[in-house]
Amino acid sequence: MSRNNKPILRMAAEIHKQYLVRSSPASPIEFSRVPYERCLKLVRQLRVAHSRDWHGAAECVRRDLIAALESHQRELQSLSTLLSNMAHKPAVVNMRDIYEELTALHDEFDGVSWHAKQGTLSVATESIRLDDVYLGSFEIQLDCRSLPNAHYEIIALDAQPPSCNESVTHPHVQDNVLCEGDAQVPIQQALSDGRLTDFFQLVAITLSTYNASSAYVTLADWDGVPCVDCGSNASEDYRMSCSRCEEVVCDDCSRSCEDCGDHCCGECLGLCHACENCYCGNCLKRCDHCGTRNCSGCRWEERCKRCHETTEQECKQNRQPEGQRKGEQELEEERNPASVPQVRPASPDTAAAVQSHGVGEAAVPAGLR
Amino acid sequence: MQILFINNNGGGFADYIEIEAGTTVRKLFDARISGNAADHLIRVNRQPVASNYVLQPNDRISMTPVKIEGANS
Ligand SMILES: [Zn+2]
Ligand SMILES: [Zn+2]
Ligand SMILES: [Zn+2]
Ligand SMILES: [Zn+2]
Ligand SMILES: [Zn+2]
Repeated sequence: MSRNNKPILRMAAEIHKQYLVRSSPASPIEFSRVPYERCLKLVRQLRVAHSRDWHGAAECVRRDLIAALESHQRELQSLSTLLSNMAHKPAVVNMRDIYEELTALHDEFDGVSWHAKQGTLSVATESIRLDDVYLGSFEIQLDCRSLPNAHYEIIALDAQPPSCNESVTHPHVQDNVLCEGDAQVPIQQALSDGRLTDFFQLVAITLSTYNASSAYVTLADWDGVPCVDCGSNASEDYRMSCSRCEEVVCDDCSRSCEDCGDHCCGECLGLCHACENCYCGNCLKRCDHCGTRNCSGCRWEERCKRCHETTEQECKQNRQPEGQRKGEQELEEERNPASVPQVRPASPDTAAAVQSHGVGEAAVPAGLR
Repeated sequence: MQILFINNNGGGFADYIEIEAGTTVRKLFDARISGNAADHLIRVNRQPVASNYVLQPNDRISMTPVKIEGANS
């Protein structure tokens, strides 16, 4: 053995120790309740979305639930396969095998590193791009102290998380943990047999394969941002920012103001009290009399039309006391008898209006016009 | 003759199997795995080999698909 191989030999000796001390011939069965609980949670969310008529959210949850159920199903299948495989005799892993595995690992991967202190063996994958989304390269870090159990982390070396979730660095990696899917059984089997190169290869291959139906965040949504109204992940060409609060709102949830045409989120739009159309906060003004919010078409200066009309009438009544109104009428009859209608005006307003208009116009009570 | 056959498809099976003398890598692949050999990493004694390599007694051959689907939970 040449001098160059000494570090690999030391590594092999350390790793081999783990295989010698493994207490039971079979690796412990790992069965997590997390996938099951995730399904339950999604079922609850779906119920809530339906009961509140949140159609967009219901659709998102429905899709997530299908994916979660499929993934759970796969996991159960893997477990059942693993249990069947246990009938095979446990492999005897010898030092020479480990040494050869480590030598092959250096041939297959760049950036193989051994951290004796932490007992970790790592390789770096090539830079990964899936469906035109650049994800960078990943370090696969195997905790050799827990061998033959598969305890390892996937560390993004140039993390490119989606805008909606910082903890996801790959469609199948969250919080540095790979969701192995179809790779679960082969990965556990490889480590159980001491096939370290196969382990790293299986993980690297899983990282370079994309399964859209079962991703934490799909690549189509990688540049997506959650909609402030419905919470769904809106991709770049399916969202806008609210022109008032600047929050992201999806195309389904955004509405435009009937007056200025600005696109807004649900929070920033309101209904005109009078016509019940949608307006942004800028285009709705509070009536300083009754406090309701009204659009420009439904208000008069600082008041809603209703309050405006009521006060207008009150004002006129206050401005023209009874005696004065009578005097004016008699004066007019004297001056221009032809202009005086046969039917007497029903209200003082009508009479005043006639006076202010031109000669020869017959005054008709408001009710007959 | 006997070889160690490692199949990383599905169950991750590794065991000694009997094959006829003169069996090539391609022939073993076609007999044992459905699919395309080009979609697999095939190593004999941990080294890449040509598909017409004739397997020798006690060879260790592994076949690993180049696409394996991960999941999300
Ligand atoms: Zn929305
Ligand atoms: Zn807004
Ligand atoms: Zn507006
Ligand atoms: Zn209005
Ligand atoms: Zn009002």
